[in-house]
Amino acid sequence: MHTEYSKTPYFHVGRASDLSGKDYLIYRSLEIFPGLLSWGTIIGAVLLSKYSPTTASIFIIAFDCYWLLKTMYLSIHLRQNWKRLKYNMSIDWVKMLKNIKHSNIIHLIILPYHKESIEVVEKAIKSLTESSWNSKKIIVVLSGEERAGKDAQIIGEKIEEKYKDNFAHFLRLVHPKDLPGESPGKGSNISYAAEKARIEILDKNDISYKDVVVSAFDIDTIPYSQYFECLTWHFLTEPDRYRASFQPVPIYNNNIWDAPAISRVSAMSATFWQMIQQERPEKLSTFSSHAVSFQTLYEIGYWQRNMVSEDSRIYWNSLLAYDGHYKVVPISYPVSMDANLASSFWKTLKNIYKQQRRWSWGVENVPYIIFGFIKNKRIPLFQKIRTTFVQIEGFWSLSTNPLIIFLLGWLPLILGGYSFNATILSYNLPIITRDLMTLAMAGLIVSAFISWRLLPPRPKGKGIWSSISMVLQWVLVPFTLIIFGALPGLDSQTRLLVGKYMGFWVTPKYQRGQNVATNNQ
Amino acid sequence: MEPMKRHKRLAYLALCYALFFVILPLVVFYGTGYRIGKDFSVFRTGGMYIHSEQNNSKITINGQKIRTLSTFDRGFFIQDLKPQIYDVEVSKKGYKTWGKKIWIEKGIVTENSSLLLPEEILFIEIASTTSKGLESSKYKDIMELFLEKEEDVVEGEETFPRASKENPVSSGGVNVWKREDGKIIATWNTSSTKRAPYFFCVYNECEKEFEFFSSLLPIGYVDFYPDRSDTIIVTLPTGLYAVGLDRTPPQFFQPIYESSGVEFRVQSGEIYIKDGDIIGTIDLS
Repeated sequence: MHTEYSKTPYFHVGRASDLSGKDYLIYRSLEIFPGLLSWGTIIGAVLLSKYSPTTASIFIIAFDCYWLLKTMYLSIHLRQNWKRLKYNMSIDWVKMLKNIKHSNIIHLIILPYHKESIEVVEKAIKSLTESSWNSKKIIVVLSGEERAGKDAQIIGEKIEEKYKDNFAHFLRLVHPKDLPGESPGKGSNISYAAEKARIEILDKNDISYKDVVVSAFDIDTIPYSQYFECLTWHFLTEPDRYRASFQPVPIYNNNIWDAPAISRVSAMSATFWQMIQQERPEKLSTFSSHAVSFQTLYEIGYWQRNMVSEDSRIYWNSLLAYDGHYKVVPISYPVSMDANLASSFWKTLKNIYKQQRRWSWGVENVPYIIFGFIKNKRIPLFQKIRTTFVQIEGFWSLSTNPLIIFLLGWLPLILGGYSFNATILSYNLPIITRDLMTLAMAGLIVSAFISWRLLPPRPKGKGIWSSISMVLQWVLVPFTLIIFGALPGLDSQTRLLVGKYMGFWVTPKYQRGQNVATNNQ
Repeated sequence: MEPMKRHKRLAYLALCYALFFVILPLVVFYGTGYRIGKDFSVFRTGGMYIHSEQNNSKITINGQKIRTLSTFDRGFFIQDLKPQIYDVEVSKKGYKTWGKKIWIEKGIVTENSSLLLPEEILFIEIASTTSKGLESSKYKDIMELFLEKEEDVVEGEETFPRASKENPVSSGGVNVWKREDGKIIATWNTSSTKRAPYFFCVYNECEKEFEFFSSLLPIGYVDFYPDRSDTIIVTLPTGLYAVGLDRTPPQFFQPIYESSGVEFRVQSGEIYIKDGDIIGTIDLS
C-alpha cells in the first residue's frame, strides 16, 4: 500500500540528475541554494568589513548577542533532556509495560556491515542477547556487503553459527554489489535486508508487519539494557505509531576512554545536539540508529538506495508520503556507539573530519524537502514554511556561525582602513566579542558536567589524568566548532553546489588491541 | 517524562528575543562611545590608546592614577573620556616621566606612544682608541661605524648626503631628513599600504609631511631611536637628545648623553657613542 505522493517518480529522487526538464532545473537550483547562502554570507562579511566596517562591526556584535542567547536557549533544552534521560534510564521499563499488551511485538534489528572485524560484529550481536528484552522476540538481520569480500562473509557465517539459536530468527545476508538503481552505502544495504526479511521471515511466519518494530543500527551500536522495553512502551503508547519514527540518543561511549580528546569533544557535541533536538520534537528528524514500524517502512518503500543520508531521508520520505502527518518520537534513551578512533592521532583527525562531512552531507535533504513541498500541495503551508526555514537555518548556521564568531570578527579591524581603526567602535569590537563569547562559553560548564555524568566507569589501567582530561577537553570547543563543524559543513554544501556528489564513507571501527578495520567507499 | 512543553519553550524563546532587542542596542550604544550621565543625559565619549613597552608603568590622567600596565599589555586603552584636553603622564620608578596633552574627540580613540628613559642612563665603555679593550674584529666593526658615510648614487654621478631629502633616514615607512634651513622634516612613505602613523594626524586629519624639530644650535647626526619610528636621536653641540615626532604639545625632548663633541651611531638595536677617545654603549632598558 503506497501513498499518493510515494507513487510519484520523484519520491525517491537522489539528486537533480535523476530528474529532467523543469523538475531538474528546480531541483538543481535548490541544490545550489544552501552553498550559495553560506558562501554569500562569508563573502558578504568580508566585503562589508572592507566597504562598511562600522556596519560590519554592528553586525558582528549582533551576531555575538544572538549566539550568546542561542547558546543559553539551547542549554536549557540540554539540561531538560539530561533530566529526562536520567529519568528514563532510572525507571524499570519492564514494569512500565506490565499493563500494556506487548506480547505481539517483535523487534527486528538490521545490522549492516562492511569490513569490520569479527570482534566489532560479535560485540553488537552479543549485546542483543544481553539486553533485558527476551531475545526470542528479536529477529536479527546481519547483512554484509558482497563488495567487502570473502572475509566479511566468513565473519557473517561464524556469527550466525554462534548466535542463531539465541534469537527468534537470524537472517544472514550478503548484499549484492551493483544492483541497478543503487549507490553503495548503508541505505541500499538495509533496504535490501528489510525486503529480504519481509519475504523470508515475516511472510513465511505470518508475522504482522504492524507488530514488528525495525531498528536500523550501525554495526557498532550497543543498546542500553532496557532499550527495547523503552522503545516498545513509546511505540505502544503513541497513538500515531504508524506515522512515527522513534529516535534514541546516540552516546559514543563504546571506546570513549581510548579516544583522543578531540574525538571525544566531537562525539559528545553530536550527542548534545541530539539531546537538544529531543526537546524540540517538531524539529527532530531521524539520525543514525533509529526505529520505525515495519508497516510504515513497507508503505514508503524502505530507505532510499540511491543517496548517502538515508537515516534522515527516511523521515523526509515519510513526511512527504503522509502529507505532513509524520513525526519523530524522541524516546530519550541511549544507545552506545563508537567515538572516532584510528590507529594514529592524525588518522583519527582525518576520520573525524570525514565523518562530520558525511553527517553534514545531510544538506542533500534540503532540495529534496523543498522540492517535495512544491510538489505536494496537501501539506499545510505554515508547516512547509517553518520546516524549510528550520532546515536552511540549521545548515547555514552550522557552516557559517563559528567562522563569523571566531574568525571573521577580526575583519573590520584588518580591512576597515585607518578612519575606522581610529574609532572607539574598532577598539571595543574585540573586547565586546571576547566578553560575549566568554559568557557563551560558560555553557561549556554544563556540557562538561553532563558529559562527565554520561561516562562509563574509568577502566583499570587508565589513570586520574584520563578523568581530568575529560573535563579539560572542553576548551577545544572553539577549535572543533570550526575544524570539525563549519569546515566540513562548508565542504559538503560546496560539493552539492558544484554537483560533486559525495558517496558513502564507512567510518572505520577501530578498537585498541583489536584488528583494525580499514574501509572506505 | 515528556519533552518540555511547547508553550514553555516558546516562552523561553520569546524571552531570548526580548533580551536580544534590549541587549543589542545597549551594547552597540556602549561600543560606539555613548554613555548616560548621572542626570540621565546622553553624551558621546572618546578614548585614548597610549603605547608603552615598560611593564608596571602607570598612567595618570589629570593627576589621577588610572591603571598599571601588566605583563601581557602593550599599552593603555582608556575610554569613557568626555571630549576635552587631558594631561596624560606615564611613569615608572627609576624612569623619567613621559607626559603629553591629549585631545579627546567623541567616538574617536587618540593614539600616542610613550617612551620612558631611565633617570640615570648608564654609559658602558667598550674600548678607547688608545687601548682596544675588545677582540680586534668587534672593535674594528664599531670604529668603522663612525667612519663610514652613507651615500646614495643617483643618475650616475650625483651623490647626496645622509639625512637629506634625497637620502633620508628611514624606519617603519617614516622618512626623516634635514632641510637646508636646519629644520627636521618627517614624511610618510605613501607607497606603503599601511596606514600613516598617528603622529602624522591631528584631529583625524593626516598630513604626508610635517616639520617637527628645529634648533638654534646646529643639528649634527640624526638617526631613529632603536626599534622606533616615532622618535629620533639628534646630535647637538651639547650632547645627544631624543626627540619625538610629534605635532601636539608638549613635544618629547629628553637628553640621552650630555657631552660636547659626542657622536653616536645606531646599529642592531644598540646606540654606540663616541665621546672623545672612548667608545661605549648606553643602557636604556
